[in-house]
Amino acid sequence: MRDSKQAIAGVPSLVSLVVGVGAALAGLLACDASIGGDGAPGPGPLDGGGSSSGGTVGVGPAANAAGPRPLLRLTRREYNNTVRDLLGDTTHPADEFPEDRDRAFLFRRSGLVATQDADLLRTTAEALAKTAIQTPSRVLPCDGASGEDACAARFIAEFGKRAYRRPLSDVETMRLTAFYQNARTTQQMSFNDAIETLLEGILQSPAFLYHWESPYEVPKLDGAVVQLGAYDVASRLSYFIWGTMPDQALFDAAAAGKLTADADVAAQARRMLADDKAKDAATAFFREWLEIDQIAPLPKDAKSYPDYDDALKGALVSGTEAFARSVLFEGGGKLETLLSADYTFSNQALAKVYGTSATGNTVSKTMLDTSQRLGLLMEPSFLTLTGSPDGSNPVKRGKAIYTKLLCGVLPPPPPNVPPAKPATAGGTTRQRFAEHSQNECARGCHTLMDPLGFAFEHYDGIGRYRTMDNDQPVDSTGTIALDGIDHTFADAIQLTKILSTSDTVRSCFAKQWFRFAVGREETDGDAPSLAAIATAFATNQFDMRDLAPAIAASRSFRYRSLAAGEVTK
Amino acid sequence: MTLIKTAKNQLRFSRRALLASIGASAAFLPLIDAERAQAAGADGFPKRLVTITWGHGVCSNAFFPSDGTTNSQVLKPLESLAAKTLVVAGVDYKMMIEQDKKYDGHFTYPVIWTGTYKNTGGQNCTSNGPSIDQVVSDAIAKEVALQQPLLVITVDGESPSWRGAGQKNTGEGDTKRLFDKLFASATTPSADLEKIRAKKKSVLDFVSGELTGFSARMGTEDKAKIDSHLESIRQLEKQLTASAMACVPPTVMTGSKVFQDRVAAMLDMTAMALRCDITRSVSICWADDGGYRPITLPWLDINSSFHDVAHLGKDGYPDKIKADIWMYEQVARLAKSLDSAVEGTGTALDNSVIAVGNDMCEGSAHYVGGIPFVLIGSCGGYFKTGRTVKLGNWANKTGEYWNGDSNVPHNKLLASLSNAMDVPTTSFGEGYAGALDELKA
Repeated sequence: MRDSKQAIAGVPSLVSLVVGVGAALAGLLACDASIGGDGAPGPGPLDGGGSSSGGTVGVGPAANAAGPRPLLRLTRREYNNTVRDLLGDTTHPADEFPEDRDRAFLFRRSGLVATQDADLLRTTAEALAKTAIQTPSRVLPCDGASGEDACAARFIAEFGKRAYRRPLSDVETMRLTAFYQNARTTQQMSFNDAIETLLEGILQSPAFLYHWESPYEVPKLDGAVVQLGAYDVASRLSYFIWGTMPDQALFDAAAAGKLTADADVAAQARRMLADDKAKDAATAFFREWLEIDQIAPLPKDAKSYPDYDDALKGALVSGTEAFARSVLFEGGGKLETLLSADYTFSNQALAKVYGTSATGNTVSKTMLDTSQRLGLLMEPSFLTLTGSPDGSNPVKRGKAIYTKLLCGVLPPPPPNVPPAKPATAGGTTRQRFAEHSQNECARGCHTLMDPLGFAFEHYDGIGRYRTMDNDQPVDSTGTIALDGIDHTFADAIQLTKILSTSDTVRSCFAKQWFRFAVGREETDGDAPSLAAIATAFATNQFDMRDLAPAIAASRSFRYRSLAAGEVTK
Repeated sequence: MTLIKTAKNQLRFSRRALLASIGASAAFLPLIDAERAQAAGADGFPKRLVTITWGHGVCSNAFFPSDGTTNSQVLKPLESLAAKTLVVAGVDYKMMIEQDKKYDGHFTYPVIWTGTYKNTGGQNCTSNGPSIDQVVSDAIAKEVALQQPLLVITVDGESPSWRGAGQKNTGEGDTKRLFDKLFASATTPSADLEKIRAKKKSVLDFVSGELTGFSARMGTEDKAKIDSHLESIRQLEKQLTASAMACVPPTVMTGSKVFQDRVAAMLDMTAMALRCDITRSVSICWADDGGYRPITLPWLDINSSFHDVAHLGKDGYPDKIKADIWMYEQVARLAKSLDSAVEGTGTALDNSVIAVGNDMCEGSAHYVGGIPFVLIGSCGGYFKTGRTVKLGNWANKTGEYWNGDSNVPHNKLLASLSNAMDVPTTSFGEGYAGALDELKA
């Protein structure tokens, strides 16, 4: 599905990053063979970046340009939320689907529908339909006994609109009507069984499963880009901010043509942010951005970390999720706070890591010892995920900060890098990794990642604070060239203060949220959108709550470039 | 041992005889009766292909047998099947070496069974054609409507099975669902089955129509995504038309979430599905590639992930060898299960080939030359088993020196597998023609 244009599309961001982080990083080789998690094959088939008309590299985009909109399908999270709101089903059936992980993209993106997936979508639809029809009022707007055909027609129009997230086209109505008649007449099903069969079909239909426009309408061209219809904008808003289908207010706004002006869209976005559903979706952003959902399968050496059990694993994730949510929705929403807050969320299991005495299983707000720890990057979840099984791992930590907070792109690692020596060889982690970084391949790439990682040497493989490492004092000092300035830091606390007000970090954070919103990497065509988003983000001292409305109001959210081969008549 | 050679166009063996002889009580017949009924068929036994894939290479000295036999530390679990085992020493993912992707061993899952490679930026890549399991199942599907023409299982990790360029076959990873898929219909009364089929067909017809209309205006790339979805719906429609095979379901534990329980259950179900002719082409992957989703092996007292252990190079060899031996114990579980099923004067294993592949040569170097491949089962006498065949530049390898390019593209091995499965070809995948006649009996 992908082609070489994907690689080309990635170039501008790499270039701008290198410039942004400092010329010292330019031309360096990556060397992360010992980092682990070194990616793997296979493009995520439903990937976004490969779309063919995402702007031309090297030519500045017009002010009204927009990025591409590759076809995306409901993710597991979106499917679960959608059937909850459409059918009242809270069984999370999509948890059975394959993970939506796409190695070429940080955030969740569902893949092509292979035979096995189609089979699973079918059995899930069958089960959902069977349950739904047990309570006919959940799906039927009328009683079949008072006129079956009329009731079926209402079901098709009214339920169909909610399932397809837009009014049905005539063709779709005709096909569903014929489908109903076949079930009721040819197959001689009862009325309810026929409706159940229709439900199965609707839940497997592309209009339900994919994020797309009405396929039977000519795309509305605005210069060289396509303007999305009102229902499509409503749906896009809803899945971005809530992770689910539109509510009635959004449907009404779409029907009334109130989703066209920038201000209307931004106002809807602000309304939606006040709803609890927004907390779920924002939590998903943080979870995916930091990849903390990968802690569950992450092994640690039981001798080094006997406390690393399922209770701690669960608390690591829920503590960070609660912390991020709290900063965003109750703590003023500033990016700076996220990175340097003096509090976190802890429970009994996490207390062992923090060295405090919290009790209970529920995480609650806890003040930090600010001489030891501040903000998101010193959350034990981040430090655990980027730790080794039996210790810290400066390279993993440096790589995570470099790619997630600075939006850096690392070239592939060179071959045959001997791993850093184990702790049994003696010396601190830093000494052993520093030696590793002096290997032939490594000097360049490790100057890029290691200083960032060494700053966190006060934290072991599950994030516990330490002053000694392998019987020697920890050295967490370093320097970093950032935003054109050479910064010196004594430890992670000082580094995080530098990062929390860095323009590169701010710009990267906005970009990450944009990627989450549109399900793809940015392209040249997104430049006007990203510029507008950056301006909005700066308005209130980088309040993260300004990002979603700004993204929703941006060109690339409501318009798209034409795709190669698209029929526009 | 005399082996049953099968006709090029394999007819459905003994199906009618089997059904006639056991009638409606198939599910309750002891297995031995089913086997006798199968053996009574006059059409010969079908050939079957199973590919098994995991990653992180091998510790060469512990893996490759130096004396021409198939005996080595890692292959010890196959000892009792030594006469039916063939170690293919020295094939390269040559197209990757030639495209300067020689250390991208974590990125070969699209390559291993397709013989194709398409870079999609950085180290990411995709396949540019179908994998051998798909090609074989397509060929068989032209002759026989099997309940599960292609069975793709991923206990963990990514699937290395590809329908075509860029189109990965998602694997089944749930033991309960796999059980239902393979064996549940055997216990459904046939009158109900017809009604259920008619309904399922009408739903699939509707979905097909929706998909066709949906992509009419779309750009080329998006249309291809919908086309792929549509093809999957067509596959489901085809499976509806295949009559369920009478089979005695194996006794397996389907509730466990424990990795090794799941591997065992999946392999036992695979064995029975092959023995009952529910499928003839299977792709199994049970471990990650790329360390993207690392598996762990705590029951072997390994406190790190398989990926991290492999990355340690020589420091990790003791644990890595322990892990690899466990992997081959699982291969042996499937092979022995097939070998216990008598088919004529041979066994189901004799009529099959289990092809074990890997993503790289060795776990810390990630090199894509000298990949360890093992074949178990002669595929109806096509392969000469009971030996190690050293190919190309690897002809004189011994002792410590199992590394470097052999200069033999693995496409030739795939072509040999295709020929063994009676899907004749002079080349497989892209770029390199020919087969490995050295492997033939």
